[in-house]
Amino acid sequence: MHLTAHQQAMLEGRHGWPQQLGMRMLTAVGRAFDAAALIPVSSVHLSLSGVSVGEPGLKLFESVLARGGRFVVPTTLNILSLDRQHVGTSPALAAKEQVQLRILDACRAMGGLPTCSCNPFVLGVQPRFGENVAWNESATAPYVNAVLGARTNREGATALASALTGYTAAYGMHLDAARRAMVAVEVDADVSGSDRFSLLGGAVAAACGDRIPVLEGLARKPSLDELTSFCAALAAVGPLAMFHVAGMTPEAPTAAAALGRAPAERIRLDARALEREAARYTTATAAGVDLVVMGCPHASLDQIRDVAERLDSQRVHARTTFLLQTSAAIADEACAQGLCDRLARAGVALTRDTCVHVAYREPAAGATLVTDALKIAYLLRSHGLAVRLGTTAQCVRAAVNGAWSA
Amino acid sequence: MVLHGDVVVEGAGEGPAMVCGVALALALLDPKSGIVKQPGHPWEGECVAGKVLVYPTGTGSASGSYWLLNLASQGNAPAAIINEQADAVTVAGAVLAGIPLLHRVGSREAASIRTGDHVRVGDDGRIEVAQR
Repeated sequence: MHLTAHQQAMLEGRHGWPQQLGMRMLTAVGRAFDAAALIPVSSVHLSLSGVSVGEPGLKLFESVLARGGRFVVPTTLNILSLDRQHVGTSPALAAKEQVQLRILDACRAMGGLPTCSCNPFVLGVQPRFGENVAWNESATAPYVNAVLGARTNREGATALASALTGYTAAYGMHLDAARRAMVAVEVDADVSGSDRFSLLGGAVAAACGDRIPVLEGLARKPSLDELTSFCAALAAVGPLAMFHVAGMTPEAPTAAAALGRAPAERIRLDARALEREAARYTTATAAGVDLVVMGCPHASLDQIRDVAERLDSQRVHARTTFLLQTSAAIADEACAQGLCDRLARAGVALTRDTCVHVAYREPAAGATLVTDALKIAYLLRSHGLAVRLGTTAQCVRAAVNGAWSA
Repeated sequence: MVLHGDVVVEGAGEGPAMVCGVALALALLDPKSGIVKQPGHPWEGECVAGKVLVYPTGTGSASGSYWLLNLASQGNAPAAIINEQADAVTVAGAVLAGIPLLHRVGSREAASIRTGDHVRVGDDGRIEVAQR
């Protein structure tokens, strides 16, 4: 792999230990994937949840900061393992909360923008067409690549390396050839709403495996909320970081253009296939509902307003907890518009900056969960919850009744 | 028996081999015990601490890099990792945790390593296998 003089100097430690550590990660990844070079990135989205980074990660972040490490490109931050509004309310969690708050402090001190969201797109953070970036959080990668036409691999701690150095290894999604579609998916169903697009994302991932799809047959260009839901589900259950929608996404003026020379197998997904997909994620047998989770990825202002309007004057059932997840910035705007009061009166908890999957405050194992997000249904099974994957309307109804009804 | 792999993360290490043909999700290792918690994985319930792990590649959550660091800081890191094709999450984690990582040994050669063999990995990609 060819390194520039600047990159070589960083690798040799002449610009300090933090950049050397970053370069060691990036050159090792480049070696593993036969990358010809390290290329500049325009931005980074960085994971920092206390659950995934842990205490050793905290030590790492604080050492990097103490030894002069700074984020040299614009860096937004992913979700936290806590809602900062509720810190200190549980003595059992106090030590863990300090770990998360110190990780966040270190990231801010290095220049991280505390978006604290898996959905920075609804906050207006949107890489531009053709830019190379290094984005953590699997849900963001298909949106960055497919919808925006910027380029990222699904990053791990390598995103930290890119934030510290401003580079990434030129492999995978950064190369034209790796972005082409391998399979055509005919969507023969009326798919509308973020709940149905979440289901479609799971169905496409299950049908395509590691082959990048080009979707055909959608009746209209999906909304931002529909696309982010699709992307979160797509990346949760499979390895893909890319897809195309013929005539709609920037690298697919037509299906043929997205496919290049690849011989195209065709897969058809109809309404029955989508219903089968929903059924695959349902493990609950009891009718009672303990927990409803919406906002995966983090809800937009429109989605929060939609929940408030669907509830109208109804109240969430006494046995049921209803979590609607978003970022602090979106929540603040929702409050300014009077939506927080309406939701609080209805018994909905609008949570900030976090997600049940990585929250220190875990739902009780054995509880029955209802969600309209396939990613939540998929991940929360591993927490020992009984799960139902429904529509947004079914979720709101289940919350009000404290029970599932089809 | 002596094999050779491509060095991804430099380092030397040795220990008993654990060999399997299934991708490993690093984020489903328990850092406190070093035990594999990945449902259905051939190593489920087994401890990776001090072992030379031979498996195809990594899978699952991108936070897995920090799990390797976490394992190492609790004294439960594997002695070395030998992959068919290393993935970025494992590579970054191996750098952070100081775990030697080789790949592309060749599938026939890698298949000659058996669980329980004593394996020594060198800085130069040399793999010495002493059959059990």
